[in-house]
Parts: sequence; C-alpha cells; structure tokens
Amino acid sequence: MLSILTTRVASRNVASPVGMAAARLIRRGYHENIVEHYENPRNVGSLDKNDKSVGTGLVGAPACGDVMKLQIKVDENGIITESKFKTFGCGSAIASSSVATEWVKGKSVDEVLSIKNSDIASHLKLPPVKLHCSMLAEDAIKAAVKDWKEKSAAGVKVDVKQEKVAA
Amino acid sequence: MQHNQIRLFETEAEFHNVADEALETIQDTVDEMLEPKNIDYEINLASGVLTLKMRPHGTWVLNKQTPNRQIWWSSPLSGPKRFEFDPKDKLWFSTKDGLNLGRTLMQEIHHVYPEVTKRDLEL
Repeated sequence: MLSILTTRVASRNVASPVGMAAARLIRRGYHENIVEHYENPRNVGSLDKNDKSVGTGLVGAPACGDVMKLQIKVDENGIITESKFKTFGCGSAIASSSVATEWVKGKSVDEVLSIKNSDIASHLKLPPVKLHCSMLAEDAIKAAVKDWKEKSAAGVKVDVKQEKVAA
Repeated sequence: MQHNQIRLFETEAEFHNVADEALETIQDTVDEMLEPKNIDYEINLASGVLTLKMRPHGTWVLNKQTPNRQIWWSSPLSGPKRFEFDPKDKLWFSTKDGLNLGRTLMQEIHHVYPEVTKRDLEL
C-alpha cells in the first residue's frame, strides 16, 4: 500500500497534501481500513435535524478531544435510508463514525442498536488506546436512534390530542 | 454526570493526586503479583498513561482523562470502559457495569493467569 501511495504522490507535480498525509499514516502503522476512511470518508455532511424522519446523535465533548454528530434518515418502515456524520477528532474517531454511517444504512432502527464498538474496532484494527473512539461511534448510533424514537413518539402524541379535540 | 464529577474534586490538582495514586498502586500491585511468578509481562507508567502487556492477550491501557475527571480503561478482553471516583467509598466505579477498578483488573489478570491469586485491590 505504501508503494502505491508514494507512486501517486510522485506522479503529481505538486504533492497532494492528502496523499502525503496518508503516506505518513501508513508509515506510523495505521491499518489501511482506517486510512481509507480517513482519506475517503463516507457520508460526511448533515441532514435536516428538524425533519421528523431524521434522528440526530451528538456525543462526546471538545475537551475530551472527540465530538461526533451522527444523523439517520428513517423511512415509514423504520428502515434507515440515509446517514451522515461530522466528527471532530482523531483519525480513528473519524474512521469509526464513517464506518458507523455505512453500517446503519439499509438496517432497521432496532437492528442498528446491536452494532457493537468491538465490531467497529476489529474492522479498523484499532489500537488499544483508540477503542474509546469506536465506543463513541456506538454511542452516536444509539443517540441518533433514541432521538428519532423520541421525535416519532412526540409526533404520535400530538396527533392523538388533535383528534380528541376535533371529536 | 460530568458536572458532578468536576465538583467532586475541588481542584484539578486533587483529581491528579487521586488518579496518579491509583495508577501507581496498580503498577506496584501488578509487579508484586506477576514478577515473582516469572511471567512474561510488561508494565509502564508515564505521563498519566499506564500500559500493561500480558501476552498473548494483548495490551491494556489505563489513562487519566482530566477534562471529565475519569480514568479510561482499554482491555483486549472487555474493551473500553470509563471509571469515576466515588469519594464515599474511595473507589473508582465503571460507568458501564458498576464494577470497581480494582476488581475489574484483578478479574482480568486472573483470567489471563489463573495461577495468580487475586488480591483485594481497593481501587
């Protein structure tokens, strides 16, 4: 992988900062799965948090070094059709939340609750000190689902009240 | 929960005192337990980070997480945990499973090396 990256870097007239950074990461011993998610993170962005089909999970704290926002868009069958993330933190945190958004798509809101930090950590071959990043990603998924469920429940309660008033 | 934690320690210095003592006690206890048994292990404590290698299982990392006054734990057996200090019991409790740090560590050392007797580690 290192030789492919250095070839990429060498073939450009101006060395790409991203390519150079990735080369440095590989040399430092990051697994290629992490580098892949760091260089080409999936699903970066935002969904409309006011949309009632969107659940937003915000976890972490800047003082601790990691903040993750993970959002899910859920259809009428409770299936997650879209997911976006924005993460402030280290490469492992970015990769963990990127993986999380990939894994929740196409699954039901209940199914994704069984996504474990250990699955993310082993997929990315995270070193011991970075297991906390994958835990945060698991927490972010749960927070997003919780937010969507609360919004959905609130919606139902409002409808019932309106029906009673109309009757 | 975070705000309560910060109030428990009146100053950051107090957190460092208590947490440093915990990590140093762990280092001393592990050395006392494993060294005489000729076990191939490695323990290092520097800059508030304790690294314990117990082959072939892997590496345990404990570190001070100063902003939220916690001790963070990473284990190849149980994954990541966070421990918060209870000033009444003077023990660090896991936010995940409520076990205290001393017992958590002893259980895992005993799991890796059944021949090593567990100690009562009051942490």
